[in-house]
Amino acid sequence: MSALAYLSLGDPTFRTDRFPAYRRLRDHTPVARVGPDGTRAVLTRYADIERIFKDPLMRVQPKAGEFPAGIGTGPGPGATFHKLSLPDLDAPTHTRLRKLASPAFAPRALAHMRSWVERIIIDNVEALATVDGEVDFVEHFGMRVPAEIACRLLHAPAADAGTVLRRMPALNRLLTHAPLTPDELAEADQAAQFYFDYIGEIVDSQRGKLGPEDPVGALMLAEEAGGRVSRDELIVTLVGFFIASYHTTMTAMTSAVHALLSHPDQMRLLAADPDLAPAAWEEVLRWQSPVHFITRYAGYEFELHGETVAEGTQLLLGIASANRDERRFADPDTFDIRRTGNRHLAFTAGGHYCMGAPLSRLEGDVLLRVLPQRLPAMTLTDPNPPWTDDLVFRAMTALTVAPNGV
Amino acid sequence: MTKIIYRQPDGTRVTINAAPGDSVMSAALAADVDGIVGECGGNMMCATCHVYVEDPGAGQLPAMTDDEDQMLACTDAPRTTASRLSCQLPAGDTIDTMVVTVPGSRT
Repeated sequence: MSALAYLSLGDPTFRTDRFPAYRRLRDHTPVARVGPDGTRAVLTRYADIERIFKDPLMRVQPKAGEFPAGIGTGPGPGATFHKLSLPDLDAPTHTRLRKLASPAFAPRALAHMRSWVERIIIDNVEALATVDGEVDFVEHFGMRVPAEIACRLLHAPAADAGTVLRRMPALNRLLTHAPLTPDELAEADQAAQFYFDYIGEIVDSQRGKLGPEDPVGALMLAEEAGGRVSRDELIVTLVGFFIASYHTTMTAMTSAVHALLSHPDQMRLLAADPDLAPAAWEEVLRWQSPVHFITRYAGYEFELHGETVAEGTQLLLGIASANRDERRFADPDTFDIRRTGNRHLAFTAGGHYCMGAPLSRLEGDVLLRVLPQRLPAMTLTDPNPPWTDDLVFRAMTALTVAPNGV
Repeated sequence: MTKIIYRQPDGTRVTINAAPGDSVMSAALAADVDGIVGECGGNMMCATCHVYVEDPGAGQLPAMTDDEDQMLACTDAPRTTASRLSCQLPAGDTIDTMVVTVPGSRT
């Protein structure tokens, strides 16, 4: 059966709660075809998706060494951007760049980041604490904190956050695997050129000033050590940090507050034992994964649940579904911050495992330690927040709360 | 078969008989050994399968590659001369017993 019978964005039930549809797919159609020619397949079970992620022969590029036609064939800034972007590359280029970028979020770098990440989060929690009445958490915290953190990460002035973020949707279209119209490609080219110029200026102004404990410094040192990473590669990787750290963190922080406020028993547990913060963050990522689908391409023909999946098939890997798979997680629809063995796939797995996962975990740890202590009476005032219609990036567009209670 | 003994920081031990083709990491994941995460699935893209090998100079282990050396700079727990990525340590007929200690701190 076609996956579209289950994944209908026009269906109001699916828009408010996708998880029953995902369960039906897992139970009845674990390899669901999409499109008239069936060249795309949706996978929704944990074991299948984990296997694809960890198989080095599966690809992120449609064909080995080839890029999507939609990014353009010329040397435009958009095409250059796509071709140097870690999430869009397979080995061997991916392997080389990934290893060079790895020290950016290694423990030594994280230890140096903790103080300023804490300051940004605590300052913004304190700002919420001054609100008398209701406030939109997404606008006043969820969007603001990741932007401030991303700017600090890249040594960009916080005041530039809006300027930097404004061009991101245009660039994102280029980085996904969706077809692009000529107008969208032109807009993506402009956005890519902006980032080359803007981040390039930062790189040039910071050169020689940053040590290996700084994420940007670590990459620069790799660049300077014999030209193992080019200036363009450095810029694209840094913009990738910004993109990857912004939207997913905004979504996860909002989901964390929504989950805890709608499960007061779990909030009480966390308030009583702040050391549960890391486990609570993992549970938020499992229970409401910020990214619902990730694309891979079959590197070879294989059989799965009686279906033949041809080489080159586009695989839509439903990680939000996998994280609710009852074959892997006991009582998967229950939000339980004391869950153990929580090896969710929100950061994916395998060679493209989220490089920023340690930063996300640091942010989650700080937020979930501070919030229950500083705003113990915080209340959800709209139990049915609006959600985006995006199949891949599922997020609340607003979350009305009363920080000091009602 | 290789007998792999995983020692935890609290002194507890888990023993696994691993078949040729397994690695110290994959055998640990199959048995849910605490502290070995293997986020990247053995692609040497993370350092979450870091272990300390007892008697690392015994000569039966494969030599460390530059890639492994580079990733060991990114470990959570301190690197020592006994540090290896367990995804790079194969079980096999030539090694009877291997003892590894799992680092204490791992998120």
